[in-house]
Amino acid sequence: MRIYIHNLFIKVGRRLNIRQIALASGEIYLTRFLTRVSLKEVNIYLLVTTCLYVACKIEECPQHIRLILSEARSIWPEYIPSDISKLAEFEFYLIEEMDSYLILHHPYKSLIQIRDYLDLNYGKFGIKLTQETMQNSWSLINDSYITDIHLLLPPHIIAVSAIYITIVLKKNLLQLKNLNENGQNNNTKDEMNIDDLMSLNGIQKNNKKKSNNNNENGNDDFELDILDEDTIKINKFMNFLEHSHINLDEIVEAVQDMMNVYLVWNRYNEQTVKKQLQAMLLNKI
Amino acid sequence: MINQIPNNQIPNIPQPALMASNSILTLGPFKHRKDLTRESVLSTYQIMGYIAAGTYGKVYKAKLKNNNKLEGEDILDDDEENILPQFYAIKKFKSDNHHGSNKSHHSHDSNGNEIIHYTGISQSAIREMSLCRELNNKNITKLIDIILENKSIYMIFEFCEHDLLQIIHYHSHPDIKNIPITTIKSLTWQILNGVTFLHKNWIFHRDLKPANIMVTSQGVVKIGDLGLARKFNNPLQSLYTGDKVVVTIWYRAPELLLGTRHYTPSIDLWAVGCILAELLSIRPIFKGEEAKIDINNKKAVPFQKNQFQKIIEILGTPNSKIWPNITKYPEYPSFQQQLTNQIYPANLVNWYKMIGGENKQCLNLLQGLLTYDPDLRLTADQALLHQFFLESPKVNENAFEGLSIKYPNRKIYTDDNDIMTNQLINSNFKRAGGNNFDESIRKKRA
Repeated sequence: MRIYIHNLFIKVGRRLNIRQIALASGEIYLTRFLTRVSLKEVNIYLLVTTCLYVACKIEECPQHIRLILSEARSIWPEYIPSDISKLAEFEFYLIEEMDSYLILHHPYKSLIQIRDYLDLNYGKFGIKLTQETMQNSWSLINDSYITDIHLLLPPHIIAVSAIYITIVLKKNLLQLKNLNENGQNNNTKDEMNIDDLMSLNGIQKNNKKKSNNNNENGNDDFELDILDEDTIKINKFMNFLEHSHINLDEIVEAVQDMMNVYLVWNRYNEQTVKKQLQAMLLNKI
Repeated sequence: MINQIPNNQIPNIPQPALMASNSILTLGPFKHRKDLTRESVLSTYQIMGYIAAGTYGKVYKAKLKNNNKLEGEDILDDDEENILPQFYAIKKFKSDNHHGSNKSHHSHDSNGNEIIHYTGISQSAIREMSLCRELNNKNITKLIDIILENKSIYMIFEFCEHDLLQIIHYHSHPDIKNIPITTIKSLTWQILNGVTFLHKNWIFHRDLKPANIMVTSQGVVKIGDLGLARKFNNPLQSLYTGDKVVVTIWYRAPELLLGTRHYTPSIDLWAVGCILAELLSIRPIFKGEEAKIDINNKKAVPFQKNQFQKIIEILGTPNSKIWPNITKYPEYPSFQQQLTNQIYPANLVNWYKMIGGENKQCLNLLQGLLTYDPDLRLTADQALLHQFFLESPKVNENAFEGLSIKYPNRKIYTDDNDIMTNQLINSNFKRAGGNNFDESIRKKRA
């Protein structure tokens, strides 16, 4: 269901060319709203539209209420009424339900801050985040809005987790590629991603153990690995984390949640969710 | 979240209509539930009358109703900070009629009252709501609550008895002396303290002027009206795209007059400079006339020649020596063509003498704030540490301490106590607020 809603946001967002930050804020508003109100009590399509409308205003890239409503109506004509006062009414209830707390901080900014910090302190940590790492981490953050972690954990934790997954994944991807080449296996890239994320679970636990008992164990785990470029990078990043006083338990939690999304995504069937929503919405009238 | 059910097991889905009618479920049972439990404005507060009105809506003075539950909490709060204020200012936003369909054809109920419709919340209302919610500083008006009720927004603030406009107005009476320098010092320091807080939180105010600086009866400055304020830490589009014109004309910084697209918090410091000058001389220092927007070309922002003229008459004609980037501004050609026929020398020192100023450090602070180049202008935290504030007499938390004058309390207009009605703002409200009010008073004084 959360994946379905996430995709609803993306649909409207693409139509109106809405910035990622506003999209993210909108999703948070929706998640917060649904912690207090049952999905069965409201029209989810109008809720998505309203969240985006408010988010655009807060992020200072306002869209006209008529435009946003007409775009939403063209995507879901069967669910979106043409009367703008319905959207405006919903806006009131949405803001009230959130007690007017509307300003949000997103991991995107933390991500950039971490990159800049690492660039600045290259001498100390010896690690830079490449354009590719940044892009992949950014995408991971985009997907993480399906989960609840944004309500539970501060943005920098999520940013760090995204970087962590990215660089560990890259290493595993390379290993997998080697395996696949041997076995003449032509997996598509997507499937590889998911397989990889699953296998990551194990590795990541080891790493955490390592970092938690760092003083005693040193880099034992990794000395056994082949010290390729990516492993060194992971090590350096772990070193940075230890210096940063970031809560590692929270990172473990975030990484788990962020990866679970992909497991669920694998089984996701859009049509089923759509039908269920339809049954729920239209039985009410 | 939902168990997966094969498609063929839900046979009775109603098929959606091709186009949704307006009666489709929107908020349904949730709305009903909320409406039943909401505490209304009127059940909590007793409206005493309105104190100001403007384009945004109306501000009412109110007190808590006696029978309110909050009384119990009052006793528990012995922490001084938390004692509930006696009076409240309730700002009610006028519903934005640009979006509604109700402007062209008013609909009325059976009693002839206008039926109000929900309209989208304006950008300025939503900015003020979102920012005030997060901000908590001694020198910023404190938000108590926001109530969204009956299609209107009510923001409840602590009540402030005075504002700088009213204080300046009081002193403009010929029999009353100017504001003592110690009071000015304390007021200015507190304004700067509030501005520093805003800037540290990546917010600029963009509409600082005497009417927006409140003072409580205990002499504490409270910066108000954050309707134009916004965060500037990571703008998604240029600031100019968002709002073409910011800051009331007399307090608008020179870089804004030159049409800058990317301005900085230093625009607020220019305004503080103008306010300081106005406190000293009891009249606006740069009282220019606003060039009106061309009716035939509403999108073009006119060059504010007259305002710039007033500035250079006192501060001298700027050049690229004192302001290296001046040539890069979009309106520089207009400035070059229209305002360089006569070159004025810098004259602030004489202006200061003429108004009877004696304190050298105060003049120095004023020069620092009214610096042309925004990069060289004092920042808020630099200004806080200016020598003027460090030398005796010391800055006082109560700006009125030692002051023999008792400023009159705010006027309350009781002819419209009905906060719940939704009249359109009509012309007779102008007497009590907004720019028109400022101008009419000043015209009388002149």
